[in-house]
Amino acid sequence: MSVNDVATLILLGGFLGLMALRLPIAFALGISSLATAWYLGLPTLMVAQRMVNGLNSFTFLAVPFFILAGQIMTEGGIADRLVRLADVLVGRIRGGLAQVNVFASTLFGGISGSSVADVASIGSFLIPAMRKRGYSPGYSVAVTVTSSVQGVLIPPSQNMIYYALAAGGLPIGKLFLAGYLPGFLLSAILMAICWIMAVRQGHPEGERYTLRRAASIAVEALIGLFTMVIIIGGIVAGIFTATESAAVAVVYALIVTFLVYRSMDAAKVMTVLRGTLRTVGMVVAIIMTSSAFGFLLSYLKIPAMLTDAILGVSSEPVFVLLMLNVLLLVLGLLMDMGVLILLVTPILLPIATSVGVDPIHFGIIMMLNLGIGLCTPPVGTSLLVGCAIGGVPVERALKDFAPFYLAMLAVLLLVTYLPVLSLGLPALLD
Amino acid sequence: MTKQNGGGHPAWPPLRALDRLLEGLARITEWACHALLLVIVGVTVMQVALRFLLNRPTSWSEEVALLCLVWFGMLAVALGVREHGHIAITALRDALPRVPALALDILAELLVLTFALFLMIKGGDLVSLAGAQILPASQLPKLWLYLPASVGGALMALNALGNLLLGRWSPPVPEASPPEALT
Repeated sequence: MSVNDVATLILLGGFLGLMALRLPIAFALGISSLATAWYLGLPTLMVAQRMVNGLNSFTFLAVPFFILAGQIMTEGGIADRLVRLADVLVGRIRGGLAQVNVFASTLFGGISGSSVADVASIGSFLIPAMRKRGYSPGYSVAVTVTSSVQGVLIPPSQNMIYYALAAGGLPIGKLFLAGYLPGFLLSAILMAICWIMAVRQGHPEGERYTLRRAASIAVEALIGLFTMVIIIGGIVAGIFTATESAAVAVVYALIVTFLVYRSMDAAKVMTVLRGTLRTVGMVVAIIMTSSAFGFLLSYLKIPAMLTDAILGVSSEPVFVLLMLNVLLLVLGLLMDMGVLILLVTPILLPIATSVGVDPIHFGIIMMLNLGIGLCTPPVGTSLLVGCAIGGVPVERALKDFAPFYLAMLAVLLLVTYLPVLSLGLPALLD
Repeated sequence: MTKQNGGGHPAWPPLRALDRLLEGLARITEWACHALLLVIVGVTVMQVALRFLLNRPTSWSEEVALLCLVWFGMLAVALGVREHGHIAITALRDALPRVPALALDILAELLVLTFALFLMIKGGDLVSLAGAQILPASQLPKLWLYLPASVGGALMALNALGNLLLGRWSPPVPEASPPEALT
């Protein structure tokens, strides 16, 4: 074995081994990078420097802002208002509350980039409400959890920023826009399934609203949704950088929740700050060490070797994309989304681009694959949270997931093989 | 608020003192982080306001926001060490009987401690090597960029050591409330 083979073994084997031994993933990345650098005779100082540089990025600065803005709006009661707006708009369709659930998640995706926050906040309103109206608990959980994937597809989404960072810098505005059509497609298909299930199982319609009440609900929700307009509009129009728009959104979210919704107080601000600190702490640890790890990956030319190996099997884009999808789905079953994005993007993106896939398109494929992973056992956080809120054991809820899993796979295939779904909107920017 | 995971408060006075010390440090770290986050938001919003309202773009503000971010990040990671907040895959450990599972917990904490010490020392080296260089826009010395690696590493090491000595080896049992995840 050559020196580089041994180094590759130390880097990858060390990482996987330490991770299996329950060392926090960030530290498994750091220690395997350190051992590899030491073995190769590279200065270990470089590992520390890479870590600091990984964090010292203006793009990454947007992440705490998005998390903070999402937390403020969530804590300040946006979910409640979005659910009511969704009820006004789609509640009268057959399977009313299920439709409301999907629609509200789509709106919520524009406020928060977190699927788990979507399940936790929309779900805690709608799962009990659905059960009261006669939907089975498993079905209520299934609708809530699968529609929460909108959190990562509909921008803003911090996961897309992780991807842009790991890909070595992609235009955030285009990446964000690319998420809309796949997100709307997912909504449409989920709502169609809810309609079919409603007809078959006799789910009720929602209630009627008076025009006056509908208008007041719409105004309240739209004031909150304006956060999304600031972020996406600001970036797309080139007024702000992603980071600036997110900071402005934080201030706007504070103003709305304090002055308009009047639902904020000092205690909730503390909850928001603590929640942000915990979440960002986890991300930062992985951003830093995966930056050192990624450097060693490319120093050892591992992505290039893997690309050659895969292209040796087939260079047919249809087949390569299928393989990448299967790989991402399996990984998504096993590991958390954010970690995976940072880890596998440097390895898989070169494979995708070598068969002519646009990096933005591949980003959306990855979001969808890993988003599906959030809804599947054993580690799907959204699934686990949804089942906890619904009070349903995971095994029992899974029966009701079948049609929704199929729908998500169908959307995945469409998004994979119809690049225009992802690239159509961003192309309008050129 | 800092979560106590197992162990409760020790009775033996030296350990009790250590427990208090680390709890105090965690409080300070947490407040420092909150303050840093507010500064980062404030500086960035100010940058936008100056550019739009006064048509006076600033050059230093991005660098200052980033310096605060590096500090915020390093301190947040250290808090995560104390609270076992970092994502780990515990499937193997959870499948093991109690004693080997605890052995894995202790091994993990020792490795975290080792890496934290590495970060502290190499952070110090970075400071002495490049600390005197000047950042282009803000004219601040690079000391402020590399010092957090050292300070954060030291805090991580202290927290890991505290967890080892105070018997807080295991991640807290998951609560019914939704976990905060990356996603």
